[in-house]
Amino acid sequence: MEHSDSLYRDQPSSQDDNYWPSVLLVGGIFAFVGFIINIAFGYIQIGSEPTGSMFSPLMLSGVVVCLATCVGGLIAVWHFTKDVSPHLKLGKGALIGFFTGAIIAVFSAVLNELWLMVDPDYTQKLVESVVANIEAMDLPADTRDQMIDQMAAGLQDSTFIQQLFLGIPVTGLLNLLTGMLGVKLFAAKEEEVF
Amino acid sequence: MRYKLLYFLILAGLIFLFVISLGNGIWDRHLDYSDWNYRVFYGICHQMQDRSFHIYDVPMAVNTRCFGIFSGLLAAWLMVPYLTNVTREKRWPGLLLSISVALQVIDYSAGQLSIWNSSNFSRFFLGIILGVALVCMIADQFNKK
Repeated sequence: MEHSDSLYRDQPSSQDDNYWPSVLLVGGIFAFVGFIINIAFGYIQIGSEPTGSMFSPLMLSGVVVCLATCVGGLIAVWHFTKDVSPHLKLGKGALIGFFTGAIIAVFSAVLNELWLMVDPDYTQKLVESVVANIEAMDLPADTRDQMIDQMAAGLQDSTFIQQLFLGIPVTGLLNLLTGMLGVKLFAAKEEEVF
Repeated sequence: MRYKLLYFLILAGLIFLFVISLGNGIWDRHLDYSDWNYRVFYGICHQMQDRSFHIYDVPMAVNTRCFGIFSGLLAAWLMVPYLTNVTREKRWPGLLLSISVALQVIDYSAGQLSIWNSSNFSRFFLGIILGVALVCMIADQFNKK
């Protein structure tokens, strides 16, 4: 039985093309991990004294989440090739990558909304902490005011629809590219027919 | 070349990404971080003004490293019809991607640890290398078998 399963898994089949479990699993995990990192570093930021340092915990979390978010497509394609079928065309890899990015954006928006029910003052506390840190920086007043405006604008609450509208296109496109990279790295090579 | 529709869709997406990453300066508008073209990058880029290029004194919507990556992606994507043959069954694209990722990690870590503080142009060029390397790595998939 096991032998016949492995034989089937090595053959391209129209039944073996359900990529949604890979998309949902990887997208969900990456969204959750990204959310946890964001929240954790957010509370570290809120709890820390303003140091005036350019590099804040929030900024560090942004970089980690950015990297994690962009490789979601790659990991989803890897999961698909391991769990469903090693035969994968470029277009499907791109689709898996795009949908993974979209799921990350959707789940992240949902989790952010849920967290605001748990701690409605979270955003306000975060803005105050970031502004206090910027005010402690040794910068010209104009620059400092601009940075405060930037941070406040970035951190202010977006509606659920805004988060989706702003999140899906860019996250989707970047994951689409890494999804295609996943096809190159993990999919079984097509045999040449002479 | 195979997958022409996919190629042109991604090309359109990358042009869109490149144009909105330029920020408000090219539209002769003042800086407003609550504008959608700035907010769209909020989650993936720190958008620090002193680490961004400026157009007519208005900072771009992304920092120099991200702008480098987007520029590299777009420039290399335009070359895909040529790259499909050049990269086919070659090992150098993988090597280039590995080196470019390593350079990003080293440069970013060095900045975080205050070992050195790279300039905006060096971050931009490192970003370009990463963007180009990623496209070189996948370009041969568009090759007609």
